[in-house]
Amino acid sequence: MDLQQQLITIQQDLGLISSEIVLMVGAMGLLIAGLFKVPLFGIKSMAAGLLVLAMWLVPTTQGLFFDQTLLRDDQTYFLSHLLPMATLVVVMFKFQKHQNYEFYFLMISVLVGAMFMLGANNFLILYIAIELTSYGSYLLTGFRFDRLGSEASIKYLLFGGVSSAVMIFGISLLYGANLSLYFQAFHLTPMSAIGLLLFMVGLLFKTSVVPFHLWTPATYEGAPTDAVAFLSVVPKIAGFAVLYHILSLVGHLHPFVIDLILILAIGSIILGTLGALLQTDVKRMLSYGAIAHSGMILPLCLFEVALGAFKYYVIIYAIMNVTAFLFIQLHEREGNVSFSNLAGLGAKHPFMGFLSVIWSISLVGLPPTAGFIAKFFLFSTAWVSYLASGSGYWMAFIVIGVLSSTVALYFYLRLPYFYFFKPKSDLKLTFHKMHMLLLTVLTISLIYLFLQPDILDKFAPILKP
Amino acid sequence: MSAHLLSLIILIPIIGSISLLLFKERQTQSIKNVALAFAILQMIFAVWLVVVFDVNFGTQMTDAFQFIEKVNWISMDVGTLGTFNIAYLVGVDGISVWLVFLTSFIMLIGIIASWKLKQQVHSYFMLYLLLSGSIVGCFVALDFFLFYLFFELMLLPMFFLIGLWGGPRKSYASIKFFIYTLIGSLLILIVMIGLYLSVKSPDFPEGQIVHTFNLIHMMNPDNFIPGSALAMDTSWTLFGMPMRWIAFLALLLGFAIKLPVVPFHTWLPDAHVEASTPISVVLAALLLKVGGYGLYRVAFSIFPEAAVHFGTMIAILGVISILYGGLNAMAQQDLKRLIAYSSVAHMGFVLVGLGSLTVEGASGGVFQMISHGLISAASFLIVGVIYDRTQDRTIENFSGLATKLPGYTFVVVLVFFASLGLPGLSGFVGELMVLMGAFQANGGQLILPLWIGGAVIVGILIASAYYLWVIQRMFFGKYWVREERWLVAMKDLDLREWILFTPLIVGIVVLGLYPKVVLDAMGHTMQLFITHVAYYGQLASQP
Repeated sequence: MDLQQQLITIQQDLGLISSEIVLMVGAMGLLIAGLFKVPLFGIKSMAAGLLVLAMWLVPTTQGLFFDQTLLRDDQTYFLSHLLPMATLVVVMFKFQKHQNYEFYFLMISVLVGAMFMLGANNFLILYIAIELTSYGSYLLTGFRFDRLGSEASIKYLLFGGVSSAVMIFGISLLYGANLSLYFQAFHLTPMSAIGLLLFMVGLLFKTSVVPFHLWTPATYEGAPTDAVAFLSVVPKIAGFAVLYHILSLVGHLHPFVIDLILILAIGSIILGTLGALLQTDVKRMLSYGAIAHSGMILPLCLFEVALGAFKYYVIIYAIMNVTAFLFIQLHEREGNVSFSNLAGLGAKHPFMGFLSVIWSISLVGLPPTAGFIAKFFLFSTAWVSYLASGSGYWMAFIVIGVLSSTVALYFYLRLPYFYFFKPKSDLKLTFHKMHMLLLTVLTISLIYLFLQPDILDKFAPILKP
Repeated sequence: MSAHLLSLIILIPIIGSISLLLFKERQTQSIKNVALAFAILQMIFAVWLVVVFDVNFGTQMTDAFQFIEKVNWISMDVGTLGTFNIAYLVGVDGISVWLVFLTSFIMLIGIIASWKLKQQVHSYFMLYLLLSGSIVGCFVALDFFLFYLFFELMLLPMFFLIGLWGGPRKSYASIKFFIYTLIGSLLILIVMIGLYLSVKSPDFPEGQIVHTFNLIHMMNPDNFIPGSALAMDTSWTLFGMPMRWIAFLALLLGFAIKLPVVPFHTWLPDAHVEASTPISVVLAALLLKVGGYGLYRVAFSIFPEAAVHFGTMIAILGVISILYGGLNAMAQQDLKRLIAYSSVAHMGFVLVGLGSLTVEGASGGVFQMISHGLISAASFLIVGVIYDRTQDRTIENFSGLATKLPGYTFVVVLVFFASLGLPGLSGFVGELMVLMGAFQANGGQLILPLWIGGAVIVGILIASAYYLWVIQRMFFGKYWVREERWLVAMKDLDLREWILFTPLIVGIVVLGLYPKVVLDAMGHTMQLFITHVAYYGQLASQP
């Protein structure tokens, strides 16, 4: 293809990345607005407007574009809505000291990276997209500029750097084996298998799967809460989407790979649930819970059959996580929230307590909340896979995954437990009406998605075979 | 209207719970009145249900359900998993109709028992009515998903009702209760998913495989997809056992925790002791019954051949509960703990009855559930009476109460005698029928060893021993209480307490003298159930 042809293709396909372009240009706009000392409310409104525009501009076209480097299908379609939506809610969090125009600039850059990750069909594009999300994430982590935050940021940077090096080594092996960087050129040979495993390290790091989870607790604890809400949803879901995409292209996986992924998943569930048991800091507890949730989502990336379950899990996971962190952010005054800070608040704020019960129960995965539906589809898919393969690892995954809910109940319920059961504290908190409304809407959506999960089909039609 | 009777009985308390939102925290009296009104309304519909219930309905297990209502709820296409079809499907048979009646009756009693509550009245009654709706829902659900939903839904209000209005160690007890029961229900969840994937709905044309959660369809082994993991002819094994046996054992364990069965009973004494009186009443009289009902409705009906295979084991578990619970009760200092352990023993009778797989035994087991619903409610109210007056319930702190509190003593003696199985009172009928079943099952298809019947008799003896001993220590002899200041508070039952006890006592006596009221409806259903289990049990054992 000569240069002119390429330019024509680029010009033709430019509309397909219009939401990414809007976000990039808008992020620059945020920086400029910051120079003119636009107040924080203006910055936030601008960011929110950008995100709404980006969602509105998501293309419905399907296929491979930009010289086959960019994929557009049902999954990118629904995730391109979900990720800006989650970011939008994070932008609407309460005002805090660390928030400024740079913060939101970085957040939107990470979002752009995540959206390119979703559609990448070429290892080089994917690598750049992952790095784009990573750099922004390292900076967002340290935005509180205190000791904990810097430690978290450095930890994240070091782990991220190493895993990205391993990943690029994996990509070079893949290129050596397949002589192409396109996903569809993948052929299963010993060398490309090793390349794939090394490459997956980068994604497993992003999605905080054991044993690449070590950065998670420190980052969640040290980073500003709204940044955590963002990081626990956007880059993570993008990472899983890529994993799903690549594993589905690989086709029939060697049983060894499936077993390996299941072992990693089981390990994440066990470590996440046990690690969360003794935490005193709410965000640290949620970080271990997030590791356990990663273990739940990971097997869903394995099979085409899982698309429905994968979709439900990530949507519901995003809502639950954003709700939980919004709740915690509203309770923050300075520094972190530990369980004992919340003691006895239920007497003064029973409605807040009620909301905390709903999202905690949803994170555990109990009815009547959407978390149950997510887990229900997950374990149904796992049953089907068990019946199809007869592999004991699937059964182990089901049993451990289901029983981990009991342990999860213990630590997730500690928040409402402290809220209601502990003696009163003299902490005075006031909540803004708008934030209460936002939290209520998110919580009600968790119940509504339990009663009517079919509604998700209308927003994101899945591929019919 | 009677077509929607069951939905009304479920919805009335839930609507009541929501309507309480309209009230302010300080309007305590109006909140109580509204809660009472909704409970009475539910009770009226429950009575209506029992009156219009046709006792001889149906010719086999799968068509014996009345007042069936079906609304499609979730129908979702999830790729190769097929379509998830979840329906709101409710109906009652001769067993559940009585449990529904018992639920609305006990919930009404519980509201009167909570009448003097002072702190956080608002949230208490909201949670209480929500609990009421979910218990009834559990008894009438015929869709496994719906059943599971109500089964889990009742944990949450109960957790808060124990944890917020309980005794000194309430938070420990409530967490323990929640976690124990959750382990059980998660095992049920795994089996539920497995069953769903193995059963196809016969409502759709041949060749089209649509999975279903319908419990009635699951009871018919013809609806299982041939070769699926839980089909009758399954070749799937786990730990060297057929998959169906594993699934049955998982269900058994799940419901055994709820029932509770020794050694999974340890949550029960803690929960009972820490919970306030009305919550103990609900816990003992209704929540334990959900375990027994689940065994009957889900485990035994869907896995009949596994029930036949494990019948002896189940009966032995029951015997262990009877003896261990009884001996533990005898050793207790705390009157409430004693009654909690006696509940464990009484639930053992349910297991022996179901395990015997005879019409007499199984009917006796279910009759025992209903009779224990009344007796345990009365027993915990008895503890509540003394606790309200003295904030103490240690047995040895009281003596000779009969002279000072004659009315109370009359109630105690009558209830305790019913509990230890005095002929003419309701406890006797259930225990006698279970014994008959246990001895009858020694022969025929299921060989229940003779010593099981013997051990049950020993269990009854132990029960007599601890109840009579309590009566002797607390009520006979010279009037004495440990603290001076209690003397003032020691008054006989007041009007409200008589209102609480009278219907329970009437129920106990009526069931004892004329058990036919309940047994007629139950007997027919039980006959169908035993025929169902025996037929498919035999089918499976043939080579």
